[in-house]
Amino acid sequence: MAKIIVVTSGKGGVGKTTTSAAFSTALAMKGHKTVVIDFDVGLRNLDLVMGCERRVVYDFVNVVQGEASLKQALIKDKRLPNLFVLPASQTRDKDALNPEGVEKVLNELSADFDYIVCDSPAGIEHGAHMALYYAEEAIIVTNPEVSSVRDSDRIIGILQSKSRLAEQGKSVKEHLLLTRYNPERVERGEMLSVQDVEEILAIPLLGVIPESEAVLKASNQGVPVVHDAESDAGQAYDDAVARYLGEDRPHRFLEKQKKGFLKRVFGG
Amino acid sequence: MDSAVSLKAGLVPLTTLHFSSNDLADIRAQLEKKQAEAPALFRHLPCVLDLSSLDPNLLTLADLQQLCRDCGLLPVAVRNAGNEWQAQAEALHLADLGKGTSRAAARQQDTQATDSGNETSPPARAVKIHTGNIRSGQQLYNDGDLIIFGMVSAGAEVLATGDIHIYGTLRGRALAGVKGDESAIIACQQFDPELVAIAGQYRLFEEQQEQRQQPVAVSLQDGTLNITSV
Repeated sequence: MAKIIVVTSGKGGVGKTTTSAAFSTALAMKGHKTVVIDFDVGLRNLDLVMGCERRVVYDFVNVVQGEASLKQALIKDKRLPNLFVLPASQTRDKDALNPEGVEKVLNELSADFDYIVCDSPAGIEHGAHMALYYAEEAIIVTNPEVSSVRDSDRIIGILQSKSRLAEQGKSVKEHLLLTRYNPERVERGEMLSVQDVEEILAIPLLGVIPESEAVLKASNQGVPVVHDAESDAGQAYDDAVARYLGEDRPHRFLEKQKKGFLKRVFGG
Repeated sequence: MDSAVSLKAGLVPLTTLHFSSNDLADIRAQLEKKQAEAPALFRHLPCVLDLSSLDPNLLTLADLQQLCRDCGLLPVAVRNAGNEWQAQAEALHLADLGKGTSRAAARQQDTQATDSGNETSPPARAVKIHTGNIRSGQQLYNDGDLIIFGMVSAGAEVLATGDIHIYGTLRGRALAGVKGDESAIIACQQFDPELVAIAGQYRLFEEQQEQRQQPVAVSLQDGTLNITSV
């Protein structure tokens, strides 16, 4: 039985798709058979970040509506043998997803995979609801910024009242992932600190991903950022996934980087 | 195809006007003063007219309605309207909200109770205990007291006809005594709200509070909200 994880935030542009790509890639790198599903019907992006946009024939909506089989729609990752992508449809809208169809697809995938990562669209409407409804765990992607924090709070409320587990009287396990963190701006008081966000949202912190140029580069090249083992963001995602799998790793990238002697002399 | 119309019950806050004078000029003078203090609030503000202390022989409802409209108010209904008012209210298309908590009536009851020497204790209020955080966008209501073991996030709203006790941080809105109980209180462990209200008296908090990190109790005394560290 697979574990169903939703990556959600309420607000757009905070890094859900980047996180879905990095998280599923890191799970696969650590030996778990993983599929990542794009729930953002109509605004398909995950395939770009995963670098498989030219291999999309059938999509999630086709499978939900019985027009194609899962086998036809699943795209095998180029780099990792145990990673698969189920892309969204670009030509349909979110109403094309229905709870019964989604459940059927998830059940079918569940027999085959260890982890199912659901990349939620922004907002709190039908699309986001479909993505989170069957989730057992949720990664709440939040930027250290007040509107993002409030939207995350809203989506946590929805997870706690409208998910299937909530309807059964159980609860979805929540993880906070703080992205685009910039310790220098926190120090200058321009950005909320990890402690501020933790205090407001009151859910366990899974990881902090620093603001990094590597992320944009990775997205544009279609290579999930964890493949870039040199980059701070790649390492931070790797840490977060290791922590998710039960490893005890200290949080990094929370402090301003001290410039070394050579950097101070030669600049950089 | 969605149906063209659907009926939904909901709680909508309405301002009630209590009168203590039958003199229209007096009422006008005071309303105009209030309007000058808060012109934005008075722009088409729907309100309920509490007729309990007004005498139908001294003024007409039509005059009162016109006066309110002149001051920017939009009377939509009447409360505590005796039989003598009914025909007028109907003619003016004002809804009758029946008997409500009027100060005069409450005072009368108090006196009666003392007169007869009955020491009946007030009926116990229903208490609702909620364990967990109230997140942004969520609303929690209880007809009675409300006890919350958790925080109330910014953008969340908790309402009770009685007291509200929050064992955590209040960052959202808390409205106690929503049916007019002026003895209701709000207490919380950390106080950083958007709004608190007791029996319709509300206060907004645009600035951060000094008492932000302290346990605080809010009560209503003589029409003003008292916020005290405890």
